[in-house]
Amino acid sequence: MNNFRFKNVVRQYGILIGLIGLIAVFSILSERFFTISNMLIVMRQTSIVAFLGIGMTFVILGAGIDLSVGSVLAFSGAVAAGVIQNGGVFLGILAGLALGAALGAFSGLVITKLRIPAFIATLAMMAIARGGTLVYTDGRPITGLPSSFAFLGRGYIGNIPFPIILMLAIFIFAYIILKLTRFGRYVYATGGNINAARASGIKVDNIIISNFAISGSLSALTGIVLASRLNSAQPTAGMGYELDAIAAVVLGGTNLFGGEGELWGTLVGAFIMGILNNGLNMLNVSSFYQQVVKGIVILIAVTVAQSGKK
Amino acid sequence: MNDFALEFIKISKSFPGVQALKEVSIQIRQAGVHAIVGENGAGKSTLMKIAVGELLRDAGIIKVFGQEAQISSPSDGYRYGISLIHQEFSLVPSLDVAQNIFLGRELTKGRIPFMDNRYMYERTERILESLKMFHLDPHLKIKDLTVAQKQVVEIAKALSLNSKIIIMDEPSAALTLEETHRLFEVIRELKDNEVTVLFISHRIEEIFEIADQVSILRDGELILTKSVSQIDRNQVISNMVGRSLEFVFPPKAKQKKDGKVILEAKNISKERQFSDISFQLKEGEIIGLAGLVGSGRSEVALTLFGLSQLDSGGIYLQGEKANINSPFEAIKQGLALLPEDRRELGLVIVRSVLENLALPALYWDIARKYFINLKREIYLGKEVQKELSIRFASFSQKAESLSGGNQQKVVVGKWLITKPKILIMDEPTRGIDVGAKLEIYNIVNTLAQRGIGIIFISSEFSEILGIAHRILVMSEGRITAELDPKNSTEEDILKFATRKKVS
Repeated sequence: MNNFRFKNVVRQYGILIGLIGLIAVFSILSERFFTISNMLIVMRQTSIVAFLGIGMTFVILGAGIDLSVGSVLAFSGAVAAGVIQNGGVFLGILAGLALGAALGAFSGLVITKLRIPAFIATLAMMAIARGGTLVYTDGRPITGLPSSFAFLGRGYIGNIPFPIILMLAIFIFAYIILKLTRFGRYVYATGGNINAARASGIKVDNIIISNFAISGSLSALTGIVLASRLNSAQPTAGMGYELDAIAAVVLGGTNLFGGEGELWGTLVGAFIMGILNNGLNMLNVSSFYQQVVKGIVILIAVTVAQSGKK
Repeated sequence: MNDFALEFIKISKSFPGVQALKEVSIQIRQAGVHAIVGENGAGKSTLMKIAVGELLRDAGIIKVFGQEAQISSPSDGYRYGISLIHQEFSLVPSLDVAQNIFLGRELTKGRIPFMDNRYMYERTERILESLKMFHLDPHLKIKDLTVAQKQVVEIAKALSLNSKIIIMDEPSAALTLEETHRLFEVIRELKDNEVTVLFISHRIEEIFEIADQVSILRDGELILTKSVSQIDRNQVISNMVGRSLEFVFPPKAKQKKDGKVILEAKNISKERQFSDISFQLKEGEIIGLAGLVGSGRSEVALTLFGLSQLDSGGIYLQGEKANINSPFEAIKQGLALLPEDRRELGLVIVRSVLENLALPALYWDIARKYFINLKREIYLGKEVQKELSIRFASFSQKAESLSGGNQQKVVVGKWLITKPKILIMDEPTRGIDVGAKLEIYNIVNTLAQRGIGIIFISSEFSEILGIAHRILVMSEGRITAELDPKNSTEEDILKFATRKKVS
């Protein structure tokens, strides 16, 4: 019985225990690691993966996958930067978000109306959006952004970097949507059993399209925050970010087949990714080895989580 | 010489919180057919899994042909010549019959790593012939087979492994009457080939048709093992449920004399599924829609509920033509569907009981303005839980952890919350035990009394006779008869249900 209960704890909170363990290990190995200033840096880095991960959580809960987040991020960031130069900050941000949402919704339409698997549809979108970015930017960074745009990526409220505030705000907003609204329930039901959901009167196509639009919008937001942070929109921005986002969701315990998972898990997963980056840098581990370590940590975490399920 | 193929001696097994088996001892005669019956949760499947090594027993001895057997993993089961055929088949849909039978142990030509296809197909053909299944082509893909044919493939696979003991977990659960009879012929062939068959069943009639011996389990304990000739139907039922239970249908709901017509189908047709179906449903009326699987009855249900579209004809609700092109529209018009496959269409089994109960009503009631009214949700949940006496530990429990009968009640409950006017029930008692069946019948009667019009689809004709006010029989996509249950028999229904189209 005790063993049974222990496994339950591992299943529900294993990833949180992993996060605390990771923090403990890095704190012992490097005294500069567990300081307020470094933790704020970690959280600011984490915010990027968290934005994408939150959108990805909606998609994966709905039994989909979005491989296009990195490219949509780049395209939306570039278009936002371009419009900001001519039409102002507000209009630029709006244009970037609208483009992200539209690209996501388009993937959703392809998946639901043409019945193309999400993996293929978003793989295609990954290429289309990256190509669109290169066409739009002519392969060069867009620079010379106004200082009023800098707040989004580099600003502070009190001592806390603005991206962290934004991350928490979006997390709370998304959490409320998933847990307390009809739409959230529909997302879980659609991902859990699309046929039963449809037979319960849910317009499942709309749910799936919305999920991808949410993922697209949050990708766009990430692109805009990154452009603000770097004071330029890079055509190569967000390369490989889809993997970090999916890793955060999976580390957080969400079922890749949909229907089961919690948003806070994704946030913890994103933190683990952020802490790994930061901690390994502090220990002067070469960036080549960092990749290897990240991969191994993902494997260990998912293995432990699965053993808790049995 | 010992004449027992398989002996369980004081087998015990417990799971966290439950004693699944308590010192169960059963002896299975060689080349006989032995039925294991019991309500859900009686421990039947657990015992069978222990026999093949899929589960490890806590205590007890298993003897195979008189010798004590060391069975602790599935490969041990095969080693001793015991095969278990699950309800959910373990076949690869994209491969053909022979490829499935030899999956994982494909034969090669000598030392060359090329497969000896000719031998494998020939051997498959020979096995199928020994089962008198001449028309099953070894080259057919599994995904193109019927459920009954897939079962035969599983049996053939067991035979190709030289299994002397074949265990079947509810082999008839998904079969039509006709297919079940064919399965029984196969079982008789097995018996003639000196194979011992052990099967689990819910359907009591089957025991008397096919089995030589029957063992009854209840709450993990063996109640009795008897020769089928020494026991009758009522004794089996009363021993299963542990109380004397004369299996009679509850008195039928009284039908109002001048009930309004709430649903009318006028000459509805759908290509290759059904044609020219017309009927009227009055408030408080229970129409029994009888027919074998494939007769088009489920397709009619899906179409009425907007999951499939009509080719021609019209559906009228309260006298007005209705355009039902989605379940959303159907629910809006007061329809509800209890689907045949509740795990596929009825429940989101990975989500909680409460979420499942609330799902269809979120839009109309519980979460009208986007936000879920959590208090109302739990209030409605408790209300139907009480009304239907659904048994579960907590509302946050996953639906998949409930027994079949309780899962079915959850599906009924989720529709009751939407306050439907018309309820279509497709095989509502399939795969649930006797006690739960009775409860479902009572629920149907109560709902009809309340004025809900009910279309009750079933291939168990005894229950159609016992529950319906009026019977429509379907065969090959057409209504072949309208019968009055008061002066009809199961044979009458069967006659019309198997009537071929006269062209």
